[in-house]
Amino acid sequence: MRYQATDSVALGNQLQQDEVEFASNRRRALRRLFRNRMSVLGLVIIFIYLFAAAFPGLLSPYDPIKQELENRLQPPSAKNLMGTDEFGRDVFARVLYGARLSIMVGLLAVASGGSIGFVIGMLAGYFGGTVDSVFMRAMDILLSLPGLILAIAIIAALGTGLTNVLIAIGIYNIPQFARMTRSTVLAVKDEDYVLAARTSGNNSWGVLVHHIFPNVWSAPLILATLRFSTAILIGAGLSFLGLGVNPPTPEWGAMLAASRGYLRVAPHLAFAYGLVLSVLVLGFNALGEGLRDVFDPRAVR
Amino acid sequence: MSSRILEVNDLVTRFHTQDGTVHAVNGVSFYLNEGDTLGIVGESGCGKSVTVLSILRLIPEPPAEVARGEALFDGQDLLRFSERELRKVRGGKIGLIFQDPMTSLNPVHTIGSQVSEVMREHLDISREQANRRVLELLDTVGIPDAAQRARDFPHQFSGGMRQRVMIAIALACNPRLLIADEPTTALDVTIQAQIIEQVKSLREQFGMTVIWITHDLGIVAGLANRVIVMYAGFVVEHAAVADLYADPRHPYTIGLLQSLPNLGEDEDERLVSIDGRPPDMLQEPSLCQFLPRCRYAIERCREELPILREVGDGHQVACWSDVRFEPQGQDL
Amino acid sequence: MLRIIVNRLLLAIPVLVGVTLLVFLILHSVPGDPVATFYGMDLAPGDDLEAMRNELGLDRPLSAQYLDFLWQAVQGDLGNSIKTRRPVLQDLSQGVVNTAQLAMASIFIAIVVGMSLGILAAYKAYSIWDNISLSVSLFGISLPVFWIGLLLIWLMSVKLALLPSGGKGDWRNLILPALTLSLASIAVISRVTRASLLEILNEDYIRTARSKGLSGLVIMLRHTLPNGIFPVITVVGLQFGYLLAGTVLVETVFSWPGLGRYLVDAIKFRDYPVVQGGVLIVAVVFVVINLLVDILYYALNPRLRTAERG
Repeated sequence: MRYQATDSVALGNQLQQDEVEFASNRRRALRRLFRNRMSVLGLVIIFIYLFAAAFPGLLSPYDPIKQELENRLQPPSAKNLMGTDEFGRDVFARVLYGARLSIMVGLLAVASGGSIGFVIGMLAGYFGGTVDSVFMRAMDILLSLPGLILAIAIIAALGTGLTNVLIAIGIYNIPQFARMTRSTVLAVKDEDYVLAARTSGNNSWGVLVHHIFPNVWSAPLILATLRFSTAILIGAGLSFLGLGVNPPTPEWGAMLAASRGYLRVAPHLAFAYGLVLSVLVLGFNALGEGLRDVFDPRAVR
Repeated sequence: MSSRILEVNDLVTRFHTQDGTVHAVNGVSFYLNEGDTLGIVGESGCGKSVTVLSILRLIPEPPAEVARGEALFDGQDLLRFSERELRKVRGGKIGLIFQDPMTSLNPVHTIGSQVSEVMREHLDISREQANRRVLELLDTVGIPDAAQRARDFPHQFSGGMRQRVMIAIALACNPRLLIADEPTTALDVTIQAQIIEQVKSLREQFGMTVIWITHDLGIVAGLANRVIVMYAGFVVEHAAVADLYADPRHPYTIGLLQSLPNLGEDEDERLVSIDGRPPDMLQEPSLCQFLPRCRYAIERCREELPILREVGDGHQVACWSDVRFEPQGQDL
Repeated sequence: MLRIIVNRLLLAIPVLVGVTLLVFLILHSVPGDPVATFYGMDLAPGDDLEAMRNELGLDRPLSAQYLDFLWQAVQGDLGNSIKTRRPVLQDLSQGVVNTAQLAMASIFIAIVVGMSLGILAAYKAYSIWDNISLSVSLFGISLPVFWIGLLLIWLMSVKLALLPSGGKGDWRNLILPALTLSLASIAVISRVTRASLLEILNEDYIRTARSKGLSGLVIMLRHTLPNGIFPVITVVGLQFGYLLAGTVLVETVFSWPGLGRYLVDAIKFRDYPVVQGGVLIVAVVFVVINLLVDILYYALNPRLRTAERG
C-alpha cells in the first residue's frame, strides 16, 4: 500500500479514510464484524435468546400460566431455577415464554414500522418536491412527541393488548427509518450510475428498485438493530404501566410491575425479569454498536 | 563559530497503525547554530513535519512513537523532558507556525485572547500588560487597526491575516527558535511573499533562529542559509544554501532542482519530474529509499543503506554513487 | 441573533399545530360515541343524542371541531375531566409542577455527571478508564429505567433503609427517582461528549494550543470543550424528550404524583379529556425545549452569532 502524508494529523486522517474505503468492501466488513468484540458479544446473547424463544419447552418442563398456589413466592431452588411468583408459577418458564413475546414484539414492530418508513423515505428522497415535503412534515410531527408518549397516546385511543402495542411501536418507528432512508437516497440519487439509468429512459420505479434500492438498504438495517432494543424497551414499558399486554400472558414488563409488590419478601422476581430484559436489550445494543463501528467508523452516534 | 542551539541525533519516529508500522522518520540527524535559518525540504510524506513535531512531542502518541534519538536544545535533551518541562519550551523558548492558517486558530476565541493566552502562560505579566502587548504584536506582524481586530474572531480574518496572527502567537514570548511548518503552502503566491518578507524582517528584529519546513526549494533559496533535504524519513543531503544549489550531490536533490522552474529563462524549457512513486513506508528500510527511482544507482546501493558522509565543508550527503550535477538543459 | 430567534419561533409554530392536530386526531379516532368519550355522559336509552351532539358541537365537521379545540387550548381551556368534573388544566397543574421538578433535577444530574464522565473519557482516551466508561454507558442505555428504579428501591430503601421508596415529601424523596431517570441520559451524554471532544482534539487549532505550552486540562476545558459542546447541546435537547417520556415510568415506580401518573391513570379510567390535555402539555413542552436548545446552539457559536454584524 502506498503511503503519503503531509504530517501526523493528515496521517491520522488518511488512515481513517482508508478504513472507510475498506469498510465498503463487504467481505472485509464481515470479517471485521466477527473480530469486533462488541458485535460478537451481541450476537452470542441474541442467539441464546432466540434459542430460548424458539424452544422454551426444551429448557423448562413447567407451564408458564399454570398456578400452584401452595407453592407461592419460593426463592430459586433446584426445582424452580428462578423461584416461583405470587401465584406459584415457575419464574424460569415465564421468563422463557416472555422472551418469545418480547422478541416477537421487537421484530414485528421494527419490521412493519421500518418497512413503511423505508418506503416513505425512498419515495420522499427520490421524488422530492411536494411528495418530499408532505411526507417529511408528517414525519416531523410524529417525531415531535417523545416515543413513549406517542405510543401511550396511540394505546389510549386503541386500547391495550398485544396487537395495539405492535401498532403503537410500529408507528413510532416509521419516522426514524423514513428520515434515514431519505438521506441515504439523496446521497445516492445523483451518483453517475443513477443519472445514467435515469437518462437512458428507465422509468422511475425501475430506477428506484434496480438502482437505488441495492445501495440504500444496508443503513436502515443497522438502524433496525438499534431500534430493536428500543422497541423491546417500549413494549415492556407499556406493559409495566399496565397499558400493554394483559395478564396472565407472561410479559416481562407486566411481570416486573407485578413484582413491585413483593420487593420486600421476594426480590428474586424483580431481579429475574429485569435481568433477562436488560441482557437482551444489551445484546442488541452491543450488536448495533459493533455494526456501526464496522460500517461507519467515523459516525458519532 | 556561533553556538549550537539545537542538535538532533538519530531521531526515529514510527506510527503504529492497523495496517502496520509506518516508518516516518528513520534516524534523522541535523544541527542548528544560533542565528541560522535552516530549510528542511522534501515532498509531502517525507517526514519533515513529523521530525520537528517529534522533537516537541506534538504528534499524537499513540499512534506515533518517538522510538530513539536525542534532541539537544541548549545542551538539554528535549526527548527526556517531562511533559511539564516540555510545556515551558513550547510557545516559550520555541515558537511554532503551522501550515493551514484557516484551521490553526480556535474558532470560538477572539484573536486577542489567543495571542495573550500564550503570554499569560509563560510570562509573569498581568492581564492588562498582556493585552497591551497583544496590540503591539499585532501591529508588529502587520495587522492594521489592531485594537479593533483583537476583538474579532478568526472567521473574520483572511488566510494571510490569520497566518500573521499565528506568527504573533509564535513570537509573543520572544522565542529563541521559530519553527515554521510549511507556513505559506496554503496561501496565494502574493500573500506567500508578504509572509516571507514579514518573517525575514522579524528574524532581524528579534534575532531569531528559524527552521523553515517547505517543499519549495525556491523559498529556501531566498530565506535560509543552510538546507537539509529529506526523502522517505531520511536526511539525504545537508549543505549551505549556496553549495546545495551550485553543487547538489544527491540524485534526489538533483531531481528536485531540475523540476524547479527557472523564472526569466527560456520559457520553452521543460520541467523535469522525478519518475516513479514515493516509497512504501510500511517496510523497515534496509536500502536507500530512493533506489527504485534513481538513475545513478551503483552496485553498492543494492547492498547497504547509505550513511550521511562529508563531501565538502559542512556538506553531507547520503549516497554511495558519486554523482555530480549536470548543468540544466544539456541532455534534456 | 434576534432574527434567528424569531425565525426559530416561526418554524416552531407549524410543528406545534401539527402536534395538536396529531393528538386531536389520535384521540378522536377512539371507537365509540364522542359524546360519551369526551363528556362522560352515562347514556340512557331515551337520551336525545342528536341534541347533545348539537349542543356540544360534535355534529360539526372534524376540522371545525379541531379549530375550536385549538382556540380553547390557546386560552388554557382543555375541557373538563370526566372523573373529577373539574377543568383538566386545574387537575393537571400540580402534576406538571411535580414532573417539572423531577425532570429538572434529572437533566441537571445527567448534564453534570454525563459531561464530566465524557470529558474524563476523552482526556484519558483509550485507557482503562475509557473502556470502563464505555461499558458503563452501554449498561446505562440498556437497563430499563423501571428496573433500575426497582433495584434502587430494593437497595436504598429495603436493604439499607436510607431513602424513602416513593411518594412526595422532602428532598430525600426526589433523590431516587431523579437518579433513576438520569442514568440513561448520563450514558448517552457522556458518549456523545467523548466522541465530540475526541474529534475536536484532532483539529489543527488544538495542535496550536499544545504548541503554546498549555496544560492538558486548559486545552481540554478552554480549547476543546467550547468547540465540542454543540453535539452535546443537541443531544441534551433530545435527552430531555426521552426524559419526559421516562417520567411516566419513573413516576409509576416511585409513586411520584406527576403528570405521567395522572396520564396513565386517566387512560385506565378512559378519561379522554385528561389524556388529551396531558399529552398536549408534554408535546408543547417538548417543542419548546427543542426551540430553546436551538437558540442556545446559535447563541454559543461565535461564527453564527457574529454573522449578522460581520
